[in-house]
Amino acid sequence: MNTSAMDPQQLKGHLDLLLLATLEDSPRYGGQIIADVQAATDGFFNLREGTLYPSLHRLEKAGWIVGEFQQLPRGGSPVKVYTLTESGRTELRAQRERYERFASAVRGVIGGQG
Amino acid sequence: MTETDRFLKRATRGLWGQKKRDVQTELRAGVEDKIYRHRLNGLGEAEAERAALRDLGSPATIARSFNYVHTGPQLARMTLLLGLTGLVGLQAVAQMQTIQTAYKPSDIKDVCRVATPAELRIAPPAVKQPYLQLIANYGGAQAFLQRCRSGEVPIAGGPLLKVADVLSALKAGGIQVGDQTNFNSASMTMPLIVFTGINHDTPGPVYQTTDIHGERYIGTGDLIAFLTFATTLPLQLSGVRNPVLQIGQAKLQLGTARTPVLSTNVVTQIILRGLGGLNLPRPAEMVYGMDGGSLQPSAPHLSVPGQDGELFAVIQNFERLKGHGSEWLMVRARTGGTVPIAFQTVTPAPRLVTTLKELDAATARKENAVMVYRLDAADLRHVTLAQIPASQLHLTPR
Repeated sequence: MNTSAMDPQQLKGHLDLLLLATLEDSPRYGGQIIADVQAATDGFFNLREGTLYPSLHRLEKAGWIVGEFQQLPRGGSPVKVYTLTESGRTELRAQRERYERFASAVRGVIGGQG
Repeated sequence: MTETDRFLKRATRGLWGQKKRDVQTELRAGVEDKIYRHRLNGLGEAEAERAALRDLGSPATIARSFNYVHTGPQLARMTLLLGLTGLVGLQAVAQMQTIQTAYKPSDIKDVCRVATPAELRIAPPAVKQPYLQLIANYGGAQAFLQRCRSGEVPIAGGPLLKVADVLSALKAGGIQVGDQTNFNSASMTMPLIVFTGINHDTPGPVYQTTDIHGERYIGTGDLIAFLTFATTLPLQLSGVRNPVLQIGQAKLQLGTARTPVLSTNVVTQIILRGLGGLNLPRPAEMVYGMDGGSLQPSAPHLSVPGQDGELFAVIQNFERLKGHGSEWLMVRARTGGTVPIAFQTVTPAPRLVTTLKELDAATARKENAVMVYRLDAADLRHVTLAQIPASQLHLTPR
């Protein structure tokens, strides 16, 4: 059975964290990021993939990631590959901590496993 | 043009120049990537393309998101609002049907709010100062909110017109447009009741109507589009504030004292919708500066040939050079021999040019430039533009 899709508002608050975390280990382009986010969240985030691209631009504007066009060996249009910057790494740490604090506060209220 | 091409065009609407090209390339790679993955799953080429585009979602939503990112929502709204203050004048007494107006609740919600301290901190002084001044002009934040919510503050796109008033005015003037309130007597001119909400993706004449407090409303651009298809009569617009639209014997006065309609904004809607047989280059990619606001006293004007009350279309690159998107289109009525060309001071003083080509060349040199068309909108079916030679324009700083 499918888990019910997440409220878009709820998603909005965590999307940046998800995208930054996806780029933590290595640079990736839009298509890969979308596939990664979906695989990692097992379809829990019911999102229209196209709006991930504007989100990436927003992160780029904030200076957390930088994009560069590259040609893939398989040909086709050049893809924009995003890399996490130093300030992006700092932001990722901060957002992660914030999320952990939030999650443990919620756990404190609702109980269950930590 | 392939389905993907059309999708990319829609998804990047509102973006401009290199930014637009880059986003299109990025999205195209994204589409190809999805097609590739769907083909691996056994779909045929055309099927895979359709599935890929479906995965990406609505191109209009993508475009809106990109525009948010690249202009900044609240900043864009603040900038927009600056041109939109207006003192409400007295309504002319006229022997005709007044078409009542209203703003969409969602527009009211978007615009009728006061910037937070955090938003003000990131706003550049050029936006922040006039914005604070504007709020003060309305008598402070609370008064601004109250007047804005009651429809007194002009909002981009202009107020919507009450469909019931339009239909009764047409009927009184003997104009047959079919029974727009009855589904069963459907004809091609009955979209006033069929198409509620937005559907920009459907080809052909599309009208958007909106229900506000149980009454149906339509935008001025949509109304003109509707009338263009529903009748063959000339659509004559006269007057500047709450203008009269005459169709045969039917006379519709658009707008009310509290929430007025300006002829300049009506014509802008026609230009934006690509109606009136207009061939204005790049209309979809221009930002339009709405008329009806009080300008900064130092905002530059151009003296233009002709009579007061005649309409002109100003195209300028000032905001584009500041990184705020694309060229601005400002439709204005000549007043005291001049038309304004910006809402605020422009430095250095702009170069006056005659053609769009010259304007583009100035933009490439990062030089402020402005050009002016004379607008002939006597019949809204055939709006025409004529370039005014730069030699006939004169900058008149006030």
